[in-house]
Amino acid sequence: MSTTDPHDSLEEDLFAPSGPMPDTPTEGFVLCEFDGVTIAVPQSDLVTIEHGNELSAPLPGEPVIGWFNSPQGPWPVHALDQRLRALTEQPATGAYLVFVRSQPWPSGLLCERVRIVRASSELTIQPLPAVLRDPASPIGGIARLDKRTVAWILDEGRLAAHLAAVTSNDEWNNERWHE
Amino acid sequence: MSNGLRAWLLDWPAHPLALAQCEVIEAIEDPEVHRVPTGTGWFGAVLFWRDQLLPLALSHEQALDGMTIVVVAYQKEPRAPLEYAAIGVQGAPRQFDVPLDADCEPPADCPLAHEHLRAFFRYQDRTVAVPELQRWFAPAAVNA
Repeated sequence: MSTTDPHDSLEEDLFAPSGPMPDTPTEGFVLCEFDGVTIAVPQSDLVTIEHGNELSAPLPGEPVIGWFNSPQGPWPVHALDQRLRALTEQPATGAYLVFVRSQPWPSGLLCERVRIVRASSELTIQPLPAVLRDPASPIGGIARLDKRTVAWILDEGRLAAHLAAVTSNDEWNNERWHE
Repeated sequence: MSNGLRAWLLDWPAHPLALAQCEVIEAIEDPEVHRVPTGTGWFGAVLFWRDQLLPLALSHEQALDGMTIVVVAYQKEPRAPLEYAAIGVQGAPRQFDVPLDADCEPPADCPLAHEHLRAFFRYQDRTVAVPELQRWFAPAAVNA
């Protein structure tokens, strides 16, 4: 088990880049905290991290909590709850936007805290027990951050796919946005 | 009247469970439990136990307060290594004498699939389920 505590070294070397990051895949993770849960997104998915206090409001029916005005145009921003379900309104606590690669434009996730783990070896990742593995879930594993905190590991591309799935299904469109 | 067989009685929220003495390993007082954000049904959490990550049968609707986490063991087949899992129950497990000739039909509201169960019997005016652990904790694809 790794003895490196990612809490110790990550606070100060975080961001914020002023624009999109270089297109260089890295082996680390971005730890995204929101609603009491932490997910670990592969750094190779990352486009940029931005401050989340200047979002444009969505139009009625748009499955986003807001739009980030990037130099390349508006990018969608989403928020998730602790069960990774999409929120329909912007929560009060999000401060950072993590944008991951997706088509046709990057997708953003509103987070309360963001930390960088520069090497995957800093995390001891265990796969979920077989009975808990669900092909529909973006979560593939778990890593202990400290005695009471874990990060749920997402494989490459899974956050963007999950955001697309939970904001485009019928339940979202019919039951949440049209209430 | 008992058949001389001792077993563990666990107050599982849906209804009591009976497990063989060899199947119950430990009741954890201060468990390190983490709810899986996308967990569904009864498998909504994991337990760190002795440096192992175990599936925990605890639904998202169940509060952890007042729950006892019980580590159980089973084998996928005879002479296979022990596999471990955990179940969230109310109160501490207790031993009891399995009653004789008390088999009964499964209750209509039983949340477990029939293939996950060995038997049911009546005990102290309650229906007790005997789970088949290696099937309950097997991946869904195996059970299908």
